[in-house]
Amino acid sequence: MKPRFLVSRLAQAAFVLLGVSFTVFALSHLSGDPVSLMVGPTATQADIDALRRSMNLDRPFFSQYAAFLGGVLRGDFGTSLWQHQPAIGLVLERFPYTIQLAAAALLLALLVAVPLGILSAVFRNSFLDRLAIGTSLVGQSVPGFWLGLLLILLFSVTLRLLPTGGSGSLKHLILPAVTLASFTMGRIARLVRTNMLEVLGSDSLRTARAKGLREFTVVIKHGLRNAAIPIVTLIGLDASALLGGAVITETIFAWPGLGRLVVQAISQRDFPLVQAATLCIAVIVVGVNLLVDLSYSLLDPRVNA
Amino acid sequence: MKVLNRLLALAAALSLSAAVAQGAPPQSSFVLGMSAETATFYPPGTGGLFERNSFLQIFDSLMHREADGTVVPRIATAWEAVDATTWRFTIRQGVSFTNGEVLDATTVKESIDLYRAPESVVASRYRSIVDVVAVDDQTVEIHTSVPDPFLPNALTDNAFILPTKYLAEVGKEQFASKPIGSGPYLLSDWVRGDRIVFSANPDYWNGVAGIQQVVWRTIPEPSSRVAALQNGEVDLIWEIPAIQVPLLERTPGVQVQSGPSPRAVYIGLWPDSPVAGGEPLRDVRVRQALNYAVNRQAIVQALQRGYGTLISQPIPQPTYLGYDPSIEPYPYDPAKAKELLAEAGYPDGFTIELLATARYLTAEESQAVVADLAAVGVTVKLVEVEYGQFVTRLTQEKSQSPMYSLSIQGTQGVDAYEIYSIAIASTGTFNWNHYTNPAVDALVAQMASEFDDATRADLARQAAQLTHDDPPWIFLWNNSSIYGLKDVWQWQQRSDDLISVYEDVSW
Repeated sequence: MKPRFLVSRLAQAAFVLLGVSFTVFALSHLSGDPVSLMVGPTATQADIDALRRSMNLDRPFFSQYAAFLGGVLRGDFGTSLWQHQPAIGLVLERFPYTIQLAAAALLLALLVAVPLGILSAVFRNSFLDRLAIGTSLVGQSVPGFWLGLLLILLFSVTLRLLPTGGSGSLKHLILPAVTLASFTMGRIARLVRTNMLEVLGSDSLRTARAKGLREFTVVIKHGLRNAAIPIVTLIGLDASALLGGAVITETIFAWPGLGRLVVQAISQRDFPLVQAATLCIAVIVVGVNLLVDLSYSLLDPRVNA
Repeated sequence: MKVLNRLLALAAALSLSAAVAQGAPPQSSFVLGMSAETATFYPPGTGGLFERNSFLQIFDSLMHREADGTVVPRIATAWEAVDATTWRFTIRQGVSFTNGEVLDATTVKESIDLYRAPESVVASRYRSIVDVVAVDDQTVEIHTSVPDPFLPNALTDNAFILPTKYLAEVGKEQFASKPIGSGPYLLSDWVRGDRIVFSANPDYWNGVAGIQQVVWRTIPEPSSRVAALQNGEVDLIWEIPAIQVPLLERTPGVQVQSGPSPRAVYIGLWPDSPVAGGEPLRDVRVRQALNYAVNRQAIVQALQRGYGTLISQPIPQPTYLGYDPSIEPYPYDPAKAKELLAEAGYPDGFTIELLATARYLTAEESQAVVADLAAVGVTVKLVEVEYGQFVTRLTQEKSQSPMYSLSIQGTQGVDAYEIYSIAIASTGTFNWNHYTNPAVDALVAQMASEFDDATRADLARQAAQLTHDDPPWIFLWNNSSIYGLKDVWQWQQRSDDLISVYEDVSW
């Protein structure tokens, strides 16, 4: 891998993050006023002004933005207006939960979807293929909130096997992970199938078979590797989406992930928290994309320019 | 003076509180399933309901209101109005915070000062205070700029007393996540977004809590809260959608409890709104017509499954001092509405904009209102926005519509004066429709400094009739608060939607 490739990707990443910081800052400040949401019905304009001053929200927009950027460079994202805690700390506190859930969902999706996709491709148009693709389509189309509630009704309320929500043990992770995995699972299975079909019919695989390799080696080593790039791209996209928090799943299962924190911060116009969270999510998305880009050059040496 | 009657017999109060429990509780921990959690444990930095509810578990205030409305002493053992602008509080001796810091008159003074500082979110509630003086270890005097009969209300389950030495030492940020209080429970674990664990304060001055542990679980999705109760994971859930009630009623081992919420929901009517179209509202007959036109009983029946009561005056609940039970809500009478509109010169109705947000009026409810108004010829342009947007439009006024959905809830919730002074008086900070009725204003001014409860209640009842006849709003309803509870417990619902596990739960 050439260092120039890495450096140019890193420079792009920094530029993207700066853009995100400005967009988020501007949008959140334009969208409303946290102070009028905070005070009760007895507050006068003078009370509101005093409070706004004490939060430094009365300063000109660009001076606030400059102060924010300066803080970020020092690692200080400001203090949450509602929670009175350093914003970055609140975000990092939620990360382990988001990572747990995202990793479990992604792992589950891959474990099911990749073998299923391969089998569907190898036994194209068989009963198994139709069943697998039908199921993936259903998994992809079923809304998360509906599936989540059904799982709760079945596994918690009726069978009493699993908790309805919360966190703290592996048991708590199962239902949200399954709910979250269902969408990604369907997407990956269908993509694996399509790409495998294309590769399985290719000349290189015919050659591999002609060499007398076992069918398993042909399909996995030669087939899957050649079909991998679009699949990795999709996994990267889904992974960064999952790591940004899964609001609906988190809400249904009362999972303390990042998604709920962000939505709450937005509805309360908690600017420092919104900014810290979005910047962190942006870092993840950019980071995952970077990894995906780098993995291309491992999977396909031609992508190294 | 009547207030002197409020001096409370200490012995009686002590025997009431915390003494209900007999024998060991059925479970050592009590799990609440709430729709949100507290954002902070720094009380001067918040005015939210969830926050106040969690403060109630770990802090003490000067006085406390029990579920039935009785005010009992807490940190203050007695209080009296020494003269028109001075309240004197006697502070309980021998109370300390869970870190050993002693609670005395100075602590009380310094705490109250924190609530009225400019950077306090709740400063406006204590606007009448000019000075708080610790006269000696046991006595605090509060001087007000004007006679303030309501000051004790503002200090009841509000203005929680904080360990000011510890606070000064660790600062607001650390206090907000690691609070120290003198209350029945102490904070022992907090997984943000998931659960807060409180454990009984072993040295609580008012008697150690019978229930060892209180777990506050945050379950934002109502269906999941209901499922958690069905599954036995939680003991008490709040905010149950009316549509889910039958499901819980069929579940063995749980029961549904409901009662009026602290909120009155209404549609404000502002003739002079910068958004055109409000002019017809100047005529009182038009405002009355709108009240006759909306079939509120049908909406409550169909969309809230009957879990709501119609309001006839600005006061949310009959429990308020000064509520007038003799005033009937406007009946549904579209013919009368049409007649009034015709008399006012709008036989063919008019077109007007309604700004609504789901927090006060759900999409179904606002559409039902719009349909009812259309039936008498009033065409409503419905503008539905997200809550944050709504508040911005309401408070900046430039884009506030001539009609808007809103609800009113007193911060003290006991005296009608509070509602009239903020939402109805022409100087009210929550009078977003700039309602002006000189006769009502005069009554509110009289109530403001009237120390005698009976006289004040009488003034409030006069104001109720005047505002009913010259309606500032389309009076809508009070949505009930609906709770679900495991059968092994008994729990008394409070009129302010708070839950004090220490007092309200028994077995």
